[in-house]
Amino acid sequence: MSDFVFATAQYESGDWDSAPLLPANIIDTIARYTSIDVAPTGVIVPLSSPALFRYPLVYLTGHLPVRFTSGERDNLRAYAERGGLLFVDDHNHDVDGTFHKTATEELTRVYGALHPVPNTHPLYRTFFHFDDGPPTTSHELNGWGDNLVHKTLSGVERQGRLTLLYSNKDYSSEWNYHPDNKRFLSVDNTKFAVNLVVYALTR
Amino acid sequence: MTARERVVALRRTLTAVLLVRAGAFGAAAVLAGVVVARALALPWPFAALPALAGAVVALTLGARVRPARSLERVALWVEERHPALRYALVTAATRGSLHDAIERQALQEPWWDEERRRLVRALAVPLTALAAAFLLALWHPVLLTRGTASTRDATRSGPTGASEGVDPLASIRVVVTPPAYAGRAVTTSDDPTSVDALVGSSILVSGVGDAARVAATLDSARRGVAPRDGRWSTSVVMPSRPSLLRLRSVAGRERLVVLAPIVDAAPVVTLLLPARDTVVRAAGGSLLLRAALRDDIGLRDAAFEIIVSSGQEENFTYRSATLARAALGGRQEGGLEVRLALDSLGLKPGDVLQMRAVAHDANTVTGPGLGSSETRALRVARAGEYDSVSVDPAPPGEPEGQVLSQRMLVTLTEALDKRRPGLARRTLISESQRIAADQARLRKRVGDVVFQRIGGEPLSEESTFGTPVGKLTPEELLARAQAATKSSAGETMDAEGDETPILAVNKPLLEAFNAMWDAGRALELGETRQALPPMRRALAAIERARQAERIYLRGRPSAVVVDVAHARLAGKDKGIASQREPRPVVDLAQRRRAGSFARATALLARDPDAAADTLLVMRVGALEDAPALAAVLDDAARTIRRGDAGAIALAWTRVRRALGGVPIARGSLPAWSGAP
Repeated sequence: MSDFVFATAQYESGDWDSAPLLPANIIDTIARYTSIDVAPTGVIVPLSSPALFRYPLVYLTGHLPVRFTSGERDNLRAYAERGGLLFVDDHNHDVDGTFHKTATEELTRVYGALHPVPNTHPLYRTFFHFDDGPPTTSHELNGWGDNLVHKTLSGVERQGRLTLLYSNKDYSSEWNYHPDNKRFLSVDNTKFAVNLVVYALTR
Repeated sequence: MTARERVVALRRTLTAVLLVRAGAFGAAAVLAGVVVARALALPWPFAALPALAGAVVALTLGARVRPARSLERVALWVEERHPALRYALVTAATRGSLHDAIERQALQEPWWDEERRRLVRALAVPLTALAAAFLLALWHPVLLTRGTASTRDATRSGPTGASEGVDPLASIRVVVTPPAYAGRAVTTSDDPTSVDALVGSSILVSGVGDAARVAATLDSARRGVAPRDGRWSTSVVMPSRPSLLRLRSVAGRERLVVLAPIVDAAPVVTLLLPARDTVVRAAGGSLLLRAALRDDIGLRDAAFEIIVSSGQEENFTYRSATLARAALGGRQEGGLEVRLALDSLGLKPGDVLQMRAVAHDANTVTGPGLGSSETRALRVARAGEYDSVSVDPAPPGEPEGQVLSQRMLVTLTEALDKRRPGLARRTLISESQRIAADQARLRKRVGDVVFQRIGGEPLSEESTFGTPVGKLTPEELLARAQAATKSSAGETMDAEGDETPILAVNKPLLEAFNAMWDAGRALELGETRQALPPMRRALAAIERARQAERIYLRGRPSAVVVDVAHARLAGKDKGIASQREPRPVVDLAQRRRAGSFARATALLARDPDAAADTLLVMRVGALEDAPALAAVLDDAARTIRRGDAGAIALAWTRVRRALGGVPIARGSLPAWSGAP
């Protein structure tokens, strides 16, 4: 039995499977840098399923409008109360895009208002140190989306612990490649994922 | 009148006077005790004490009547006061008028008038005491009335001596005025332990007494207490979270009132049409949208929202619109319907139209509450995805062909069965076996359709399911199908129910698969008559499969198995993600509540009011996340206030059960692992 299984959230609306290679890439990163007993494949977990509670970190992304069903909403609320961390990434990296608008609306209904996560947050120091906050992605200024470099991530904390982390930085595009291609990068751009996993497992 | 007759008359008078004295003193004692108990606002067990004391006094004094029943003792009592009688009266009273000398001597002294006057005078003290006690009892309500009247001036002149004796928290009254939008009536309740009202309701708490002698706090915020209509009163607005209103008198008494907010629920919106997501080749014509709306208080308006998203990869554009907005005027239920012209939207291949209904309620205090339905999507397929997405509304091709083939085999078998009496056995067997071979081929095609659909290998002589593939029980077939499905990566998708959607759709085909096996065996033996029923069952099953609900599946992302050991430069891994156990629920609140309940239990014997207060404080926290517990806590607090010992035990048990949570039911014993 592995200590950590990377879980991708499946929801009824939108394209939840828009970054199919990301889980494998993150698993590879976890295996490279840590001794966490990580499962070699990720799993897809429906947001409305009780199976959601098996995973301390769940990743959610998409391009299209997000409308949670009432079952998904209730399950997600229970997931937050039990201490799970939902990492949501806007695959459009567009604050004017429909994913951002609809996803933040739905998340606000479940978690309450989102607030900027300060760049001094422990999330940025749990494993690797990111003194300037969330690492910039090469997709933020690629001419699509809002073409902005987002300085902070947003989130919701409960009892001093992040239960929701929301990103407009498009890590879904940045990390969506086969792990074998990591050898062509001079600097591994997936290190921040290690912090996410370690934070979810230890806080 | 003889001496004896006078003694008899005196005895009657004496008895009457003694009884009147006893009654008067007893009644005076009762009245005095009641006055004291009311002045000190003692609870009813103490108020019963004066009645008991009065009864004791009356009985004690009344017991003196007993000696007066003896004529001799009455005569001796007179002789004691008049020694000059020299026992003549006793003799005359007990033995009658034996001698005139004795009679004369007994009547010589005018003792009867003197004793009767003395007896009447003896009534003065008890009757005066009774009158005084009666006046005191009458005077006490006057004191209360004066105290009430004086509260008007209390804030100016300070507490008066008379009102200091009144407990301002002895009785409280709560008037709840719901917010105007709810259109509900004002309610009044006396001495409630908790107030359940809509958020934003105006709550007026009042009581008899001086406003300066009462302090009120809502949670930790101090609330003003003011005189109003001869009573003290404080008003609060029902907060959105459960709160505790604490009332304290200067005498140290405290009363708690739980404010339990009733939150106006958001409208419930159900999108009735379209019933499911759809993929179309070309978006034309019109689409009927229909929604049902419901709210607990009242609906304000409702509308349909649509979003059209176009584009792919990095380039997406969106259009949104609101349709058929309707005012609902505070109705609790309603419907919404509109016909959407798809041509007007100009949908192109790849566009996605998302639709939902939204409704606002009439809440003007914390709202308006917004309710939305599930979202349905209508997608226009791209030309390039016809090979992977089922677009046409026509039924699948394979079952269609199988229906024709099976129907043909049934017809052939029926014809052969008719010719059977005139055929030689060898010819019959030969023709029947030809049909059996066709039946076997058709059965294999059905099997291929089922197992290829669910991700397994096609059935063949080299099938990995083992050979030969004979008739399987439905359980075996389903087990194989499940196994085939589970061999793919997304295991968690199968964890939701007993069977996958694919399996549900393919069940009729699995049934046909089995029936064909029966038919084939009978045909091999030339038993055409026995072969026909299973053949017809197979035909019916295939037709059911044709009519089964069609489902469209997303493409499953490619499953990349990371070689973890390779990444760590060591060994190999099997590449199967294990199921994880859920995290234990962190429930500090449960532990806190258990501690509070233990304290309340300890308090119950020596201070029931404090125990009730503890339960009410617990209820404030429970209202947010444990409504069942909150209900039994309120019930227990009320029961304690009533003081019913039997009901308290029952209420206590209910609280304990509600605190314990739901018992864990296990379906079976866990698998043996060698560990205890």
